[in-house]
Amino acid sequence: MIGAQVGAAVPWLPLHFVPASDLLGILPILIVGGGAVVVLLADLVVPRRGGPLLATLTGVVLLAALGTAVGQWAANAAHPVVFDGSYANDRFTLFADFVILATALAVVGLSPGYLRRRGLEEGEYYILLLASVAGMLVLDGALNLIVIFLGIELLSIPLYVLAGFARDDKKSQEGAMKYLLLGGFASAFLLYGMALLYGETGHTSLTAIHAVLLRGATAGQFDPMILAGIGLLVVGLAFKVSAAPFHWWTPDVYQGSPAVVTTFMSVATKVAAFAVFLRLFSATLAPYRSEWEIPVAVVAIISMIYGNLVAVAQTSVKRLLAYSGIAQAGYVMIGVAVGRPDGTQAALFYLAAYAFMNTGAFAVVTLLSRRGEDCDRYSQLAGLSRREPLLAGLMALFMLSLAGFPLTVGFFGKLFLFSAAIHDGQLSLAIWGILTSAVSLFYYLRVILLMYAPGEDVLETQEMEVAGVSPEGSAVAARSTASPAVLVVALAGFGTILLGVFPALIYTLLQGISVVHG
Amino acid sequence: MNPTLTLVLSALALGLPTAGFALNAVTAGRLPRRLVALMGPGVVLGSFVATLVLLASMLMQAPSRRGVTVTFWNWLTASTTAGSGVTAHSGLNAAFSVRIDPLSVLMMLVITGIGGVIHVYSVGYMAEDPGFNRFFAYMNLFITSMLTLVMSNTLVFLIIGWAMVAFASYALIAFWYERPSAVVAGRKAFITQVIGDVGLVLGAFLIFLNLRGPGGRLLHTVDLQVIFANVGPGAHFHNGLGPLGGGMVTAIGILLFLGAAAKSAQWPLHTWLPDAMEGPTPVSALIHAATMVTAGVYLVARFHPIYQQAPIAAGLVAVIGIGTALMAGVIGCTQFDIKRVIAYSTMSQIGLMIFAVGVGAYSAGMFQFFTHACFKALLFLAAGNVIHALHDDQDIRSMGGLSRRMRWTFVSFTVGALALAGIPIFAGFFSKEELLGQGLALGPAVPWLWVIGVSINVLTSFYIFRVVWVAFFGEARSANAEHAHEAPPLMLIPVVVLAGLATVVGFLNIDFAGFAPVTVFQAFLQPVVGVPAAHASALVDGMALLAGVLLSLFGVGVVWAVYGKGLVSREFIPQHAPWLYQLSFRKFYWDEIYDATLVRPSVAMAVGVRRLVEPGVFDAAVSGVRDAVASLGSDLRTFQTGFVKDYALWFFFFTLLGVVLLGLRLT
Repeated sequence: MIGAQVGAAVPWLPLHFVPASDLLGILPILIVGGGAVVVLLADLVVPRRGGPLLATLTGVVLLAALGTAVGQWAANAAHPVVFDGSYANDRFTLFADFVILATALAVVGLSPGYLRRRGLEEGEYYILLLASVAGMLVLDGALNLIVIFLGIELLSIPLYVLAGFARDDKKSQEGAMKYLLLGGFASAFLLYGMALLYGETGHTSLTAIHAVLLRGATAGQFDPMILAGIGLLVVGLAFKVSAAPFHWWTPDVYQGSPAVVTTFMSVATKVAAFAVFLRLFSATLAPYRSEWEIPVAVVAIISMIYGNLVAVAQTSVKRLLAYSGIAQAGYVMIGVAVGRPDGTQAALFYLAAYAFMNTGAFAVVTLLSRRGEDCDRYSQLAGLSRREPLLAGLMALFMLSLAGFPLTVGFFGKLFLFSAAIHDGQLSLAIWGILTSAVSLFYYLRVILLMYAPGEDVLETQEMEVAGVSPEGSAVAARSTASPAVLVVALAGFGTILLGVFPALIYTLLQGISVVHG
Repeated sequence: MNPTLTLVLSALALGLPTAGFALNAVTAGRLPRRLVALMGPGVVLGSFVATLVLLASMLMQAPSRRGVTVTFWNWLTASTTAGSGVTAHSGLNAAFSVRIDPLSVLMMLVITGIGGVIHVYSVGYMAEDPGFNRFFAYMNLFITSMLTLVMSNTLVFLIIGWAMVAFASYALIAFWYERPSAVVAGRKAFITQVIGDVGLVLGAFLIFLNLRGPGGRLLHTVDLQVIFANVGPGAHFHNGLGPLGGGMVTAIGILLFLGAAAKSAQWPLHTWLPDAMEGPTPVSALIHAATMVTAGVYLVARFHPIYQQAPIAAGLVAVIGIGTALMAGVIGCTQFDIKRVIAYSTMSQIGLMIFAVGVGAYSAGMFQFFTHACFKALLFLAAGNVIHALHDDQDIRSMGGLSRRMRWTFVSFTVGALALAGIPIFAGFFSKEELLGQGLALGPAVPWLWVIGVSINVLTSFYIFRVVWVAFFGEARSANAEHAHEAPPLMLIPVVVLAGLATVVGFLNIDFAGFAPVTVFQAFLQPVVGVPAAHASALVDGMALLAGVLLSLFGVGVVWAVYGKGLVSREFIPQHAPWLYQLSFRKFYWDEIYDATLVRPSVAMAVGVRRLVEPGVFDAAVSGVRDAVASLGSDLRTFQTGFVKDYALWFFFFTLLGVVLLGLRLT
């Protein structure tokens, strides 16, 4: 309709080909995708070491996409489904867009200083980042199996490269290779699951699949081939959100990748993957809920237990956060298992909360990095409260929030998830969640203890002297070059507390969001 | 009232002291003293001005439109949305909203007005103290907490304010933390408060759980206005709290009163108040005279719809109030510490207020609270001048002859004593007359409770004029008393201001336009608490008034006979009724009783648990769990071999496991 009007006004635009309303529906994706091309071209003309310039350009692109998404939310479009029902630009999608784009912006803020310190200043970094973001935006609104797969590959392939971006770092290369191999392995499972679903229903559109499943379920018939397909989808998606027992890549890749990439991977990927997880399971596959409820709940519980237990035995902050991420994936899966609007809303709230606290925690790790390596061993954290009181305080805040302390956003994230589980009658999920949260205190508080305990400085200084680095070398250098990075950490801390005191700021946005097919 | 204006003003009233506290707390004593000396009292007086504007804008409205609820923000919205096919549980919706109505504004006026005067006085009193900034941080925090308590429109924030008051008073009582006795007193006060908190929280929880609205639907609300609308007279009968006087509503009334008793130092939770005199004297004036101890009176008045449904609980409140008033009056007669005498006098007067709100004379109770805040703060601050002049000596036996050396303080103290004793024209006369008159009309066991109440007048005027005589007349009995000097202006002006107030505020209640028997305060508070159910006839009222005044004068006469002229020996009671004297002097042995029955067994149990149970059971369990978790974590960690082939194998294995389980399920 709009397309016709615009087309009449500007006859030379090829709008008869793709209606403008469709293009409007994917405007954030177009901006990010087009932005990637612009940055690619800009990289050719800007001089070498033009990192800050490219970062600024990337930030502008992301801000434009974010602004567009906010505008679309405010405009509350009447026809959210575009491209013949294969992409939904509804509030669910837009909310996920907000979180993904905001996280990407934070990562871009962290990047220039970090890349310079580690000697990784290459323009390709920002192009790959934007390409991956575009994939995430495709994924979170996909209403068609093919679009889902497209989104997953579009977000993953740039990430494989980004994970190995530190070419001189063997760990980074190793992590990237593992990620690529296992990612391909998991994609195969996902694709096989989709194939089974398509083979049995004859559709790739989620809406149509839903209709077929509903007919079968109403008649009391559960097709075993569809069940197998659903099972394979669970496996494939569990891999993407790094839920146990399909999490194997996570610790190695998180530890090996440059810290900024890990930040991006741990938050944005998870949000996008959970968006499609929630859409598939609480809408499309809802008729089969009685069948998949238990497997999903089991994966959630295993993830919570495994992630929290193994995190206790870690000695590297990046690995710790990897296992904590596995555990957090388990918590969000509670929302998937509950289904229904309150489960979906609780999961979305948790993802937003997670974006604040996890980005903040990784950002602190980023700021601590030194020339050529990331400082993430526990011994390197000791006595941080005296060297960098502000960073240590914020890190403590993020740890408390991840553990779910009141007056931080993490508390309300867990509260909403557990109460959704209880309202749904899935008491065991809530009980496991609470028990494992108690275990998580063990390792989160240990990080705080390390930073604040007296008398550990000596070790640190000696170690640094051996390495030929002055003790002040790291974060002080960071501060001079990384004021946007400090701003990112401060904003994350501010949001963690603000939303811990006024959770309604986000929760009211979520009221009324439920996943439906257009 | 204009909601926006009300919102801004109440935010100012609450925000200013909060900002003062935050600024002092964050800077941790680094602000210059002169700034703090301006800021500390300044924020409270600013809050007072905001309250005055609120009052003015309220008085411009018709009485029925004087109550406004404004919401600052919705703190917690946990109710699940309806319409998703689920039965909608109405969950906890806690908004930070404040109620501005005559009752809360009256409380705010006293808290910020009298509180402001006390802040000014503190600048002089604490001038030499190294903890100057810390002191004003605590004082501002106390004002904030108290305002939160009286302004809150939800149970949640009422409880938060209630607990914050307890903390602030703890910090202030134990302000001189190098003194072991101050720390002990602070701890005692705090523990007593927590006992009361438990009662309040349980009572609030029972309301939350059981209250039903029209149609018998469970309300699950914490909004005070909704609660009162559904329990008050004329509300739906099945309000879930049981029929009139039923068990549930009685239990709620008693539990709430447990909280009120702890704050207001009523038996059996009264023993903390005299010990709390360890704090600096302005603290005693602020906390233990003007504001905190009246929180209980406020609570009962605020929850009057519940007490009107619970005659048994209300009767208990009245009886405990009058009993505490009598007991504290008796104790006050034999104490030698000038502040303790005033503290027991406070306990006694609060007892009368509790009696009043217990029998339903809410406006009379609140009027007594209003005048009492003026003259009791006056007495404390004047006593503070004396103590300051005598270098922290509080024993009246070492005073004497101060009327010549500290003339202004003496005059002010005497005005306070006259007001306290209820001598005509002074503030206490009006309030006590109204209180006892209404008590006579409404009391459950009329006229016995009234007889006790009016006889307390003798004790009141006796103990306070005993202090006046012993401390201010006669010869100086110590070197300090001989060299005492009048207080500096910063400490004298607030005292004189309060003396003026204590003289005139009583007249506020006389309606010169003549609408007797409804007095000004009754009319003002009527939109909140209604009018008393019964009035005494003019004749009975007059007789009661006369009896009260005569008994007060009799008390003064006794002091004159004993301490002035020596007509009766001071040893008369100790010799002829030693048990009575000992009972009074030893404060009815409550401290000893609690020590023997509660404190010692608790401490013994705690020691036993620490020595025996904790290492063997809890420590072992905790470290056992910790070690188990840690070793399990390390064991599981070995699965993370680092080899892609292993990962893929595990991946495949678990998928296969899922397929097998699925197959088993299908067959």
